Amino acid sequence: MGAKKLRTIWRRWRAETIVYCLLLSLAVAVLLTAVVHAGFGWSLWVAIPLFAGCFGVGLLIFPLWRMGVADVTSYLDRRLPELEESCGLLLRPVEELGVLERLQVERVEGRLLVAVVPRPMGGRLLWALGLLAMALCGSFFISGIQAHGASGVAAAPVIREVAAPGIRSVQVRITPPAYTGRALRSQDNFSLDAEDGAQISWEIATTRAVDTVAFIFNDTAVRLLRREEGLRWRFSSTALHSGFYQVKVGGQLSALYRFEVVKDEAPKVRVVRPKPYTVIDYGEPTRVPLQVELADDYGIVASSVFATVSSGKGEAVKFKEQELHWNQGFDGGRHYALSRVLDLAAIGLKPGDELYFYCKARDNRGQESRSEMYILSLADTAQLMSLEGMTLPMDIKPELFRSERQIIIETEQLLKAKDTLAAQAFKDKSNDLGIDQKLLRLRYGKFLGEEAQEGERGGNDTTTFGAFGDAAKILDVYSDKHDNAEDATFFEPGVKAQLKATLSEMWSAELRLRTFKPREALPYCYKALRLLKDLQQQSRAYVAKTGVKLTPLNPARRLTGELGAIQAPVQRLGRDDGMSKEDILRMGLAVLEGMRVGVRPGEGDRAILGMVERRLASEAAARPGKFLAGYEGMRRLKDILAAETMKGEAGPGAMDILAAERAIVALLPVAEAWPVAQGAAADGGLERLYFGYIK
Amino acid sequence: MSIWDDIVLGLCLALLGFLLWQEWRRADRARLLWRVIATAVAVGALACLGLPIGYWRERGIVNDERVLLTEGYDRDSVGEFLRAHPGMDMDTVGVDGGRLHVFGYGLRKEEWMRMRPAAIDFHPGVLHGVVDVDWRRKLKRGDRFVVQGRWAGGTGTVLLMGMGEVIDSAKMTAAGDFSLGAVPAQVGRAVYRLAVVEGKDTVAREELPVEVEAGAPLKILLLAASPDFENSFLMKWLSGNGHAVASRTIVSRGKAEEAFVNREAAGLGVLTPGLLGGFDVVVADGAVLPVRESVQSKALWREIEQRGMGLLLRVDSAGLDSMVRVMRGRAGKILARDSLGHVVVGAFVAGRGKVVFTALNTSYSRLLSGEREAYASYWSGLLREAARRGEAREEWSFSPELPRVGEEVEVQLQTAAGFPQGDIGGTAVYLAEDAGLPFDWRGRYWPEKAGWQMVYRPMGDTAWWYVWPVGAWKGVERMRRMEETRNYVAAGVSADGGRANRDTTAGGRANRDTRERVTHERVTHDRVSREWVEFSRVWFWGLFLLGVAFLWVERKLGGMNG
Repeated sequence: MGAKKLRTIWRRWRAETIVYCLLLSLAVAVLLTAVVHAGFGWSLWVAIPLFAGCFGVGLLIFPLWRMGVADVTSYLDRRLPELEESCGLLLRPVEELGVLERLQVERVEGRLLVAVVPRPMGGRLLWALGLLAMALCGSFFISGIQAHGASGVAAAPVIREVAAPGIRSVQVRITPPAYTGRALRSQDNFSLDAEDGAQISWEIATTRAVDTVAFIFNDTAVRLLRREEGLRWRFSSTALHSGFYQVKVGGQLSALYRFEVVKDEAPKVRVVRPKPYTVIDYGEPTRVPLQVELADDYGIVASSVFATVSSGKGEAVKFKEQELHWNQGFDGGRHYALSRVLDLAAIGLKPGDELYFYCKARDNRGQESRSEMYILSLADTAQLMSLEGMTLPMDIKPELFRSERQIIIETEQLLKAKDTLAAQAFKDKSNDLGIDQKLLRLRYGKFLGEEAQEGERGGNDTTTFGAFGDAAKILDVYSDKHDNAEDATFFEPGVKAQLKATLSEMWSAELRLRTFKPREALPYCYKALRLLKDLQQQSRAYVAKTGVKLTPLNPARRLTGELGAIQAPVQRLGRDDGMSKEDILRMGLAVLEGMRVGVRPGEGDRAILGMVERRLASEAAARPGKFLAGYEGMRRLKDILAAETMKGEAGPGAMDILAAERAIVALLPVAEAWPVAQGAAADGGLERLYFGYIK
Repeated sequence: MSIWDDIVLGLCLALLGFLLWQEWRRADRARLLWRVIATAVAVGALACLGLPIGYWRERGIVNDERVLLTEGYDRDSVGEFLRAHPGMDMDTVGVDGGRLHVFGYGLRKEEWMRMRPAAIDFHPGVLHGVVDVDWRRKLKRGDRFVVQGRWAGGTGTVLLMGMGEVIDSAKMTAAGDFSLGAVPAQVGRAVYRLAVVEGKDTVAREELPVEVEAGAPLKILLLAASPDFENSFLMKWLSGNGHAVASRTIVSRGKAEEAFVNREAAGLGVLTPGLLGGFDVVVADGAVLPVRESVQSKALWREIEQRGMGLLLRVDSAGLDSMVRVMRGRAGKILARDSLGHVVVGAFVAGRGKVVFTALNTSYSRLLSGEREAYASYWSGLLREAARRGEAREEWSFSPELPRVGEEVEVQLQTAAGFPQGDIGGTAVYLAEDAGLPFDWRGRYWPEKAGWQMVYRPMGDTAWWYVWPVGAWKGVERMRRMEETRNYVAAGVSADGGRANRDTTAGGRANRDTRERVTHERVTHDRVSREWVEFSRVWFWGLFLLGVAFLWVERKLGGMNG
């Protein structure tokens, strides 16, 4: 009984020491994490290893958890005198105890059960808890400093607006429209940025009773506020156009406040793959990967690809439109990176057809935008094989083209007959085709002026001509006729380049045929054939049939018409005002610069400043974020000028001048070069005199 | 003799008296004399250890050398110099005769002329920051405002600021030149700023006044044998800029289309002197020019050669060759070449006027492709080259370049009118006529306030110039002082035949020792300076030990004897 109680006490104390260590290490870890997170920008996850480390160190420093039951008994013996230092007896087996000891055990056991057991760890636990609380406060403080510092760096300096006269408080509630997905917000200053279509309501408390409170928008539109009870006024409006406004309390006007409407942009669609125009040659995969990136400022709700298949030629062309859907749905995210495979066969594209497609996206406000038109073209091998072109009289090189076509036909036959042929026969046939391809390539090479291969020159074979003594023939065999005008290549560089490309395709085909891979050779054969066809088309001249017979010109009668009645045209143009808007702004800048160093503007300068101010007013109405500060500066300058308190550099208007100058410079393009006459030297006619002498 | 010396002497004398008395009353009176001597030597040496004991030595330098510390001297090098040349006075300015060791940036030329020291040893200080700067004070519209300067050393950033923004900047890490620039936005006068930032501190902030002249619009006559894009775009561009353009384009036999922009209509059919006199430039293609030796042709060329009108010829490739040939025969210049190095745009002088020819007949395509600035700079260049010189204007110029309040400014006026008075900020400045050039007038002025100053001649043109406040352009001022001091030193060297002045720049410091020795030999001594040389304390310490050791050994010997 007593032993059991002792063990219970032991277990509790041990648990308490561990909890104590846990609390201490938690406090240290929290504090350290806050420091490294705020100071060095480490991740918050660092807390876990920190905590583990601190806990380990804590267990080492406070090894109370290693205590045994014996330690508990000796402690109790010391702390509780009524146990008469006999606690240890309780743990020993009853059989081992003597009579006296048993009596003592019974005495002590009774006392132990009723004794108030001390809690040695209680105070320490409380202390550790306090420490943890302090560490938490400290870490909040540290992270608070950090957050404050970060916002100080990142956020633009908030310009406190000047309190409007006669207004005690203002509450602006902006209810963004549904498409933004943003919550209602309110602010206590007048300058505001609102989403397009947001509901804005002002609630104003004036300092004294006035008759009217009004908003003046863009210096023109006056809107009266509705009076609530007491000194409270209310007004609501919808954000549609940017501009600026003023508050008029009684007769007092406030400063200008920004009213910026943030427009909703249409979604942006960018097709990453494929390229705008892609030709898919024979042998290339007909499954084309399509990758599209979508982005919008609030959210995208729908997107699909519109594909149009155009098939047929000439008047028989047919279009078939279909909408292809993406594999995923759209739930109003801002960015999507989409991809799918365009299976041209499944779409119904046949060789010779073209696929036009574009991607369309719609945002949650219903604004749509689409990408450029992309074209996928499937090369038509059947067209290449047709002999239609050959029958026309304009065909210049029929046999050469037929050879490439023949090689393709025979290669395909060979592939069909592969199963029925012996392996050796297959290889022989493939090799023969390779040789044919080589010969063809060499023949075309001649067009490019390439030399014939070694040993092809003949030369050794003069005997077979059967015309001994025919010097011309022998000479013909041995001479290299570079100077023959008919052989000289007079192709354009473009044709030559294409011919070269053809030759390289032929070479690739020959390589495959010679290595007994006719199936791999086929794409190259087709490509070569297509290039040759193009060449053929290019070199064909088109002459329209004309049956008109013109009367021959009589040079004697040319340009002898009567023009007397025709008035010579005279144009008269001119600028209306003599000064362009740009000139006015540039001169206004100079006037402001003069004011900055204390030069008082004259009447003409004031007129220029007035024109500049009007220009800034219209710009501020359109783009208040950029030009309102400048416009306000101009207005204040006007007041200062009217009050004649201009003081120069350190004077009251210095900041306003800078603001106005910035706005004007933002309006101006870079000054372009200006033709101007150079001034003559004021030399009292010396130069003229000199010129007279040297003449 | 300081109080320390008194204390040492007093203590030593007391010690000597006590010790001698002790020796005297010793029972064993053997070697008394030796003991007394040894005691005196030991105490004397002890006293010498505590007293400065030395002697005066003659030195071979004249004593009328002085050190003059001016702004920017280096404390360490002055200290080093004084250690090497002890006994030199440091405080005298305005000594006559004598050699002056000048540390720092030196003095202005006028100040040297006033002081007239016989010889100067110049030890220049170290400059850093902006020490020289220049820019064009007057620009034409669209010209680039370029500020060029020299950075003497140190690390910093030079910023060009204007209209409340930083326009351009250059990071300087070593001595070198910098060039900042932008196209000014204003037409008229403005003050830009040049700021020097080192670390986060703005260490200097100087004003850069600049005036952009709008310039009078040109009067241009366009003649064309047929309508083309080049002319119509050119006319549109010129008219948009406010120039007065008259254009005559032949559209059929005997029929021409005439257009007048920003000016009155006039008959353009016949080129008469009266008509041509109203234009600054005639822009024409080769086919439309009147036949050579005709009346019209003579009128045209007389206008060009006698009265300075410009002719801008648009030629084809055939005409280009003949034009290039003409140009080679006259004073001409090439304005543009094509990629093969052939001349395509050129100009040559024809009497008082100029002929500019161009074979670039598709410049309008640049306008169409959005290169408006390139188009503008091309045509502005051609028209500026060709245009008739404007009216002669009075030309004011001021020296120094960076005048400051209270400094003397030399005013120069070039004017045809002979009236010897100018007006600067309400103060009359009387001008003296140059003896050789009757249109050149000069005067002096001491500006009283900083900023823009209006200057004009009564009945004449108005001009503006700028005066900086006191203390502006410190680096430039220091550089100028150093230059003037150097010049003064160099002038002294040449005048005295290499006798006196020296410039110990860093390069010359390596062989300073030999140079100084040579100089000292050369100097004829008026007075000889002396030098205090202290004996080393080791000797006294040795004497002290000797005396004390004798006394100790003597006692032991006496003990052995006795």
